[in-house]
Amino acid sequence: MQRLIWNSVRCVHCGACVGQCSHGAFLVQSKTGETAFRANECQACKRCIPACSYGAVEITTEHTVDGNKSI
Amino acid sequence: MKTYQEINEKIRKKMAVVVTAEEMISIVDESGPRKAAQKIDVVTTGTFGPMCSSGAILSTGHTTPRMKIQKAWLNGVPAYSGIAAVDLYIGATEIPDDDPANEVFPGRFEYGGGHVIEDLVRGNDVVLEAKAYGTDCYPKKELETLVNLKDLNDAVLWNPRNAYQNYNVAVNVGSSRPIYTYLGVLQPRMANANYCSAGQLSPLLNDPHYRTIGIGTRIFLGGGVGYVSFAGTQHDPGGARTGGGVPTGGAGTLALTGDLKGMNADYLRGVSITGYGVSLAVGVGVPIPILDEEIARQTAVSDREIFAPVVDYSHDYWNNSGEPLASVTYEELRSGQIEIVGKKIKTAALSSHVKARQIASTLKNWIAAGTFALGEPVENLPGAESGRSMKLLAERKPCPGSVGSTREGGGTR
Repeated sequence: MQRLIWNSVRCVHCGACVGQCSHGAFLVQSKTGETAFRANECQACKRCIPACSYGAVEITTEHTVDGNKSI
Repeated sequence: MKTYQEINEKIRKKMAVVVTAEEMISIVDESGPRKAAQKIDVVTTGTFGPMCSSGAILSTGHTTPRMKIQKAWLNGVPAYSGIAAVDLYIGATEIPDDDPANEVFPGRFEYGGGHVIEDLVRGNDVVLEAKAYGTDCYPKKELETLVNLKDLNDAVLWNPRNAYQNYNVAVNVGSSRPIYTYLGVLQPRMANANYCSAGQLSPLLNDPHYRTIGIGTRIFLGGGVGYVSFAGTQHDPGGARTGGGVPTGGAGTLALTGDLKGMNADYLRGVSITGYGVSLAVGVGVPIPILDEEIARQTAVSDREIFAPVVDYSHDYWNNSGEPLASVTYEELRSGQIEIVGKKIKTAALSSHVKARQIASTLKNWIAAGTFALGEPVENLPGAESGRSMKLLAERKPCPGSVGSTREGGGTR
């Protein structure tokens, strides 16, 4: 299973990911202007990855205990 | 009317009244520009985003025996060495010789000149490799060593073009696939629109006619102190402007310089732009002295008064053709959605408004604390009245006899 990881330390809060996200997983917080990530909304479509110039979003593949990829 | 000297005296006494460009909007709205000019001494601006025309001059110190470097690489990224024996220029957009670039499209461009500069500022060791042909006075021919920013004799951020006054909003009208541009990934059928400006916080949008920002202006640069060293390349002040004087397209730019050793990686970040290349995100903050009522009025410019052209990057941009599809305000852009010919389009920025606010706020604190005095320009930047404009390159095929050369006896040695 693929899962998106957002690195808030690397993020500069430009919001480029928000423009690519059709699922509402990335959004700009109205009060602070900062980018927020709601992992539960993410469909791992990966459109945000090439949009981030700062390496703040990555995809991981989760593995089962025996080392095989889980589906 | 106030003078630089009067304001600097107040700064020295920690009595200067300093606000950010965003705070100035409501102050002028409530008090009017005349009272605001009396009350406020300095307005601070800020911007943070990829600024390709950036780089650093590094002077490494001489080797033993001495070496006149002919070719050099920093962490595998070529650095220009045609300056002097051990002076190098690492450009933000340079990529390693073995980077596959766009051979596997879209290229990832994971590391380049901008990242080398970030690594140096972070205090990381960087591998310097160099080659030379050797001379009687510089006999060493090969070099491989670690270098660190703290050990370099000189390290100067030297950016020929930063802080564009205004910029395009990019969309993809005609391509059926996503296109990968320096303004990010643009989905087909205008599914998204990308922009890159701090709008009402941006330095040159708060001084649209360059009355206070000029050669010698002291600024926040990359977390440290820098200077406006010249008009930036592609400085193009003559384009269309609103009734308030705000350019509706690119317009002015700044050449910026500052001591890299005083900078901070929070405000100098290497960036990897998919399918395009590498660059350096630079944090810039410029203080604007409120010398009179007109400057007070101009520093209160708000996102709803600043317009940007929407340009098709699937064809019109690279082909230097067509007209902008629309003109939209930064208020609309920052709302997350614009509307063009009835189509609602999602917007996103490549510049960080959060960082821009941090920069304007940090600069405000420096000035209020009396640690940052204003630099009075020794010369103004060319304005609209200069007649200066940006030209396209008229390509001319060289033919025998058409190229003058000092090698053919026409020059002096």
